[in-house]
Parts: sequence; structure tokens; C-alpha cells
Amino acid sequence: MNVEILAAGILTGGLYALIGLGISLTFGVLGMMNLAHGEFVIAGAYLASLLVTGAGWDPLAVLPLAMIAVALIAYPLQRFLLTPLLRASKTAPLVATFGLLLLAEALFQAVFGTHPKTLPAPYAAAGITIFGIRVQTVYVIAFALTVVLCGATHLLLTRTRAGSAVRAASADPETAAILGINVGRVYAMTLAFAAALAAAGGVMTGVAQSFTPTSGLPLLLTGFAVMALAGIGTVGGVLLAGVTLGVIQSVAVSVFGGGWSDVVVYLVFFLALAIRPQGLFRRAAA
Amino acid sequence: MTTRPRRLALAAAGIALLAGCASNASPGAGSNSGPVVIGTSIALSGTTVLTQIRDGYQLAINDANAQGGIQVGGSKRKVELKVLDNRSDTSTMLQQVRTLVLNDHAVALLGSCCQQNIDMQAQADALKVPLVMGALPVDLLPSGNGYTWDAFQSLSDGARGFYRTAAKAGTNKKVLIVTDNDAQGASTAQLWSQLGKAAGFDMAAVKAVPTGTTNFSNVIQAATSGNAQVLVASMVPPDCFAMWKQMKALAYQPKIAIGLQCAQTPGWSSLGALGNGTLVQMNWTPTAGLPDTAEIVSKFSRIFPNANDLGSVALGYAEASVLLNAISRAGSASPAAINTALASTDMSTALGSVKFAGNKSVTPTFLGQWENGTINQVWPAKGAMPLNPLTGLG
Amino acid sequence: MSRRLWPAAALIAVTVACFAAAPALNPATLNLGVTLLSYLAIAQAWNVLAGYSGQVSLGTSAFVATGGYTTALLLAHAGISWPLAFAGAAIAAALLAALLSVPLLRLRGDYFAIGTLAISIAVQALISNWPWAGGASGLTLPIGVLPSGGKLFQLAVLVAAGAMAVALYAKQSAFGLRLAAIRDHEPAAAGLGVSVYRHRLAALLLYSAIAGLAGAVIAFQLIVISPDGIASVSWSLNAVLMTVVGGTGTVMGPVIGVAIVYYGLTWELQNQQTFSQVIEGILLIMVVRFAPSGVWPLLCAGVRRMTGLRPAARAGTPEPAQEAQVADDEMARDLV
Repeated sequence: MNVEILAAGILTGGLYALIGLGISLTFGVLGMMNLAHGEFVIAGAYLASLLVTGAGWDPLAVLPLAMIAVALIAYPLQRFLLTPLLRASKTAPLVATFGLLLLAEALFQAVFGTHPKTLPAPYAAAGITIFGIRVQTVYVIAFALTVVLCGATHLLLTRTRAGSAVRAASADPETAAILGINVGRVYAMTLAFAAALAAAGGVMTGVAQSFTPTSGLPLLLTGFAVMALAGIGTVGGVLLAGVTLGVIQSVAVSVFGGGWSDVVVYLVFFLALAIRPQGLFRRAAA
Repeated sequence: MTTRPRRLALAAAGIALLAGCASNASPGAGSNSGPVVIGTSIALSGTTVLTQIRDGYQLAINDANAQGGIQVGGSKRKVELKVLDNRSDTSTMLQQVRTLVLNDHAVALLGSCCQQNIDMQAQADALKVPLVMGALPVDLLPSGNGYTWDAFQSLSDGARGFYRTAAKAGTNKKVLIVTDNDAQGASTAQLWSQLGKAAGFDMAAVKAVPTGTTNFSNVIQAATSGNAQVLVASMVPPDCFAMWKQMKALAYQPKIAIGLQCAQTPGWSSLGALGNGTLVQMNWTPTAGLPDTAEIVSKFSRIFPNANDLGSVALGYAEASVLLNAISRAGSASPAAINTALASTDMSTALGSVKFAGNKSVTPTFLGQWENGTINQVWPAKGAMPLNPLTGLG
Repeated sequence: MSRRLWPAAALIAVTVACFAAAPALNPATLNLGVTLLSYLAIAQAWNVLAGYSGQVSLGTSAFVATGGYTTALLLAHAGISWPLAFAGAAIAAALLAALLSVPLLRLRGDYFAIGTLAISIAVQALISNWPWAGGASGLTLPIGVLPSGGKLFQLAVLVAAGAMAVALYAKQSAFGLRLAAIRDHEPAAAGLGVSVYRHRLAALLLYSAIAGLAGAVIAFQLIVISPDGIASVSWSLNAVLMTVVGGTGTVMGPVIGVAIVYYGLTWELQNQQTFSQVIEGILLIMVVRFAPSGVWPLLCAGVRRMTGLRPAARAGTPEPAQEAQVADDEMARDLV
């Protein structure tokens, strides 16, 4: 087995983990499967493209702005559309996020056109050699970014008051509300944060690959695959699951050929759901 | 008692549906008066963008209408071109073709490109309506029921020209071929392998990838381990862009490269210096001395400064001219008559001379090379500039 | 007694009328009709699974694709007659559902939905890599042996009528009651002796078989099938969209939904596809948020208000926590 294939798999796995982290958060805290998560990713890429191709900024400089912008879009969506639906019925949020997916795809198409776009950057086509292995610079940067964001998420959740409020609301919303936690605001902040993570993933995806208005759905499934592998519980588990998925995919492609790269993701996802729905890396205690 | 409003609502719904159907029952086509309707379901958005071909179609039809229309039977009739954007989606294209023929009463169809053209043939056969196309190398068109007419270059010509050029470029004659895994890709790979071997080249690796691949590391791996200095890629533009970037990052440096299907799009210039030196197969160049060059250049060179876009306009213009010519010679605007007339086409068009043998007509092939946002012809020798090294990836 | 019979009678009457009208309609109407009826069948199939048994599936395209590809492969490679190939579509789709039911029926709610989504995309990817089925380029069906024009329209009428009949039966029968019990409160239903697994499986099989037949009709109409066409996730999306907009859990809901979404949006706005998709997304969100039971119950309520009739007590279960909708929903749970 070629080391470079493994290395490429690990690095792309970092990007997968970033996408999966947002989905994990949303499902873990809100109990909602957000079908529009892939659209948050692409929204990050498109919003970044406004400054990157429009004003020539570097994508990494635009990244925080894209994260904030997408978070600002997600907050009212959760607060005023999705939270009321969460209380109403079990299937309504799923269908509503599905409607958001359709709407987002159509809006991207209307505003940005259907041509594939990329975010140009000096490191987009650069490679570096680490420990004698040749890898793409952009994926190294994405992996580093993922680690930083995962660390930040973990710290936020475990070391801050806001994080405790989130964990309380996710464990028992009713009791949390009685204790004075504004559950509606917590839910909205969580989705906004998840959306920001998605946007970060989107910017890096935009630099490393190209994106179109319909690129969101495959990314959504990748994120779900990571979540299914990881289970709900730890941020570190999501990172490990992402890397695992990346490696499995990379190995499968080199053994069976390029056509299997997507199939592998879906098969892994489905098998994980069916055989071990609680995930591989779930911590035993909540 | 309360079921009555339900029944009322049902009855109302039923009547509305039937009324909708009835209003949809449009009168039959007036095949002896009114404009002659030509339809095209073409990819104007999505992974492939063919606006230049559409412009070529429109230009030919506008030219014909400027002269009062085309002569059909005893009278001059205007031509109406109905264009539908199928967003590079196959199902949409198939439904649109049926709508154009059944609802808009198109008497003939103009094609899209590539795999869509292969798929469109079946509908043309089923609806018994002639389809004139370009943008699909004639070697790739499967045999049908005789309603599809392809006037375009041959893949073999391009391959032969490329291998001849590559032989003079001082390479080790080892080739990497990477294509999309659809029918066009498979045929391209097979043909280019065969012709390459006949030209004395060695196929180091032949890979097929699904459309939308972003990670080419296994392909690049095969290329570096096989030491392939000649690269032949036939994929949709986004896949090529991704692969070129990854090749640069992983320091794979071929000596000569051609991007079939992908380097002939305006988006190639967005790769910047990375795209320099890549070869592209063209059906037209401004320096080749083909008919109608002056008109196309004067009308469109400001909008499309790039030779390959002008070539697509020329393509559209040529195909539409063939069709209009056939309608005139048919003497009537009925699909069957037009189809028969197409068989006896023998004319000079913007792409060269067109005369169908077995529903196919081979037009000339040229090879161009990208250099700083423009394409220069490098083969055949007439009107060509010398070949530059592959600076983009080197 | 007549209340229970008249929907079935109406269905038979409409079916016979459409069947008989086929030779008189022009090709354009026949073509549109086939598409509308295919969508109706798919929407109704999804309705039985999601509306009646509460299993929201995002993977309808897997079964549509299986039906279409089975028909195409049987015609292209085995040279059998099209009615047999057509029947094969239903069998293959149901077989796939039976196979997948083993892992799928262990999942519930959102997990089930995402599982079906993954299946549908995996099926698309698998077909793309299967050279015998034409790989990424797909297959062309042999034109000479296919039903077309009036015959294809009649076939589509039969498939849609079959789907409507299944929905009607499920609505009016004890089977449907048990499905509703599972949907509304699974543990209680199990406690009352309903075999949850068998009923969920039955709903899944019905859904997949109808979707497979619709896939066969689509394959006959489009003649060329490919992974990015008949196996595209948009079939799954449309099934959800049309039924939810029309009215999940009602028999007439999918009819209205198909009329609004396909005819009203996709067809009439075919030159502004982006605009129509924006409207579809907004419509779905609006319906889910403000009119969760769909347009058909709204229409019924509107007609009721206009004709000044008041609803009598009904034996249906109201939607939880939707006070204003209770009366309408009780009506919606009734016959149609």
C-alpha cells in the first residue's frame, strides 16, 4: 500500500470531519437531521467567492467572514422556522430542511449561475513534502484548520458557560428551560455554530476542488457518514471518524478504481447505521 | 352530509384537470404556413456550457430570416429556433426533446454535445424527426434508425495529429490516458490507445474516472510510476481543472498534454498560467482559411476573443446551415422529407465541406495550444505556429 | 355504506374514462399525461409509506431506478416482451426492498430517512460502475418493441390507478388502521398486538413495487435511461415535495400535489427552471410550517366554509399540538 495514498486519505478525512462535526452537533443537541447542512457548506464557498474572486482576497482571510455570514443566516432560520417545527412533529423539521435544500440550490443557481467555480489561491496547486511524502498543501492547511476548529468546539462545549447550557439543553430541554436556560436561543446558537463550521469546510473545499449549486448533497452524505461512524458524544470521535472515512475511501479507490469513491462512502454509512448505529468512536458515558 | 363538500371539491378538481388537458390539446401543426420551427435542447448551464454553439445556430437562422426566410416548396417561410436549456441533465434533455416535437411542433432538431447527443439519437428515432448535430466525434455515434446526422471531426484524425506532434516533441513516448467513465470516455480511451500504439507510443496507464472526481491521486500515482510524459485527458471541465491542479501540487510533470472536451472551454483560462501549453483539439481556427470565417470573426470576436469559442460558433452555424439547406431542398417542412433531403447533402459550410456517408460527415481537425488566454493553432502546418513547451505544469 | 363505496366507484369510472379517451388525445397531451401519471404513482407510493405508516423515505429513486433498469435490461438483453419486462420491474423493486428491509427496518424516524437517502445515492453510484447496465452512459431501450403513444398512456393510467387503489384500500381497511396506529404510537400499537415489523415491511414492499412500475413507464417514455437520469435523487425529492404539498396521509393529496408541483411549476415554468425550483422550496417550507396537512385538506376546509357546512365528529386522531388544525385533520383522516 502506497504511503502517499494513505496520507492523501488522512488529509481529505480532515475535511470530511469538519463537515461531519457540524452535522453531529446539530443532531446531538437539537435531535434534528439537518438536510440543508451541505448547503451551508456551499454557501460558505459562494459567499467567500464574492471577496476572493471579486476583490482578490486570500481565501483564508475571507474564511472567518464567511463563517460569520453563514452563522448569521442560520440563526434566524433555526429560531423562527425550525425550532417551532421541532416541537410540532417528528418529521416536519426533516421536510423543512429539505425545502431549505431545494431553495438554497435554486438561489445559488439564480445568483451565481451553474458554472463550476473554484476559489483561486496560491497554495491551491502547490505541494509540499512532509517526511518524504508528497502531499497537497491545501489539504494540509484544511487538516490543520479542522484540528483547530475541533479543539475550539471541544473547549467551548466543556469549558464555557454557554457550552454547559448547550449540553444541558441537549440532555433535557424541559428541565433546562425550567432552570432558566433559553432553549430556543441555545438551539439557534448551536445551529449557527454548526453552520459556521460548515462554511469553513466550504471555503477549504472551494480552494481544493470546484463547487456548483448542486455540490451540497454529496457533501451532506459524507457528513452523515462521518456522523454515523463517530456516533454522538465526542468531538475527537468525529475527527477520528472523518480520518477513517478518508482512508477507507482512498484505499478503496486505489484498489478498485475511481468509480468506487462515492459508493464506498455510502456503503460505509449504511453499514454503520445498520450494524452499529451508536457509532464506532462513541464514548460510553454521555 | 359532510361528504358533499368533499365531492364538490373533487368534482371541481376533476373538471379543472380535464379543462387543463383540453386546453393543452393544441391544434395540429400548420405544415404549410407560418414559420418553420426548429428545436434544440442544449446544455446552456451545468457542467457543460454551449452558449457559443447556440449563438451559431441563431446566427445562421437570423441570416436566413434576413433574406426573408428559406424557400420551402413554392413560398418563402421564416424560420423559428426554439431553444431550451437542459442544464446538462439527461432526463431534462429527453423530456425537452419530446416537448419540442410534440408540443412546439418542431420539424427538425439541432443537437447539444457529447454524451447528450448520443442519448438524443434514440428520441429522434422514436419521434421520427431528423436531428443534425456536431460536437460529437463521428466515431462515437452508434448506429441508429437513420434520423441522426453528425457532421463533425473524427476522433482518429485528432489522435493521429496529436501523436505526430508529440513524436516531434522529444518525449519518452509513454502515455497516460484518463477519461470519464461514460460511453464517450470509453470509446475515446480505446481509440487513442489503438492509434497511439500504431504510432509507436506505449500506453503506460489508461484510467477511467467518474464525472465529478476531485481526487486523482491514484491516476497521478499510476502516471508517475509509469513515467508517462505524454498526457491525454478527456473529461468534463471541472474534472480537468481539479486534475491539473493536483498534478501541479504532486509535481507530476508531463512534457506534452492534451485536454479533450475540457481544454476547449473558456473556463480553461481561469487556470491561469497552469493551463499554458495544454493542447486542445479544435474543429476550426481563424487561420485555416475556412468559409464564413470573416463573418464569424467580425460578429463574435469581441464577445468571444478566444479561437475555440469562435470555433463553437462556427460549429453551430455550420450545422444549422446544413439543416436549412436540407429543408429547402426537401420542398416541404415535413420531418420525413427533410430527413430524405439530408441524405443528399453536398455543400460547403463554416466547418468545411459536408457530404453524408452513412449519416456521418467528417470535417477537418486542428490542434491548438493555450498560451496566456489565447489558443494558437499548432497543427496541421498550414496556418500553424510552432509548438511551445508545457510551461503550465512544468 | 355508499360513503365507503363511492370513492372506489369514482376511481374506476375515471380510470375507464381515461383509458377510453386515449385514442382521441393528441400526442402532446398523451406525453404530458404519461409524465403526470408516473409522478402520481410515485407520489402515492410514497404517501402509503410515509403518510400512512409514518416511515419517511428519501430513497424513492432507488426503486424507480431498479424498475426502469430491470425493464431496460430485460428488453435489451433478454429480448422478452414488454409486458413481462414491465412485470419484472415491480418484482425487482420489491426484491430490492425486501433485501434492504433487513437493515432498514432496524432504523426508525430520521435514521430511516437518512438510511434510505444513502441507499438511493449508493444505487446510483453502483449502476454507474456496472458496465453490463451501460455504466455511466446508460442504456437505450429497443425502440421497436416499446409501447408508445396511446398504449403507453393507457399503461400509465393503469399504474396510477393501481397506486390510487392501494392508497384507497389502505385508507379504508383495517390494514390501514393498523398502519396508522404504528405511525402514531408504535409501542402502543405493539402492545395492542399489531405486528409492527410485518406491517412496516408490507408498506415498504407496496411502495417499492409501485415505484418500480412507475420507473418502467418512465423508461418506456424516455427510451434512454442513465444513472444521472432515472437514478437521480430528484425522483426522491419530487416524491416528498408533491405529496407533502398535496397532503400526506390523504388519498387525494398526491393528486393535488402532482398537479401543483409538476403541472403548475415544472411544466408551466419550464423556461424558468431556477425560478420554479425557488418556488418549490418556498412552497414546501410554507406548507410544512403553516399548513402541515397539505393543500388538499385546506381545499376541503375552504369548500366546507364556503358552503357553510360544519364538520360532524370524526373517528380520526388529530395531529399533536396543532389546535387550529384539529378539525381539518379529522376530516383529512376520513375517507379521502
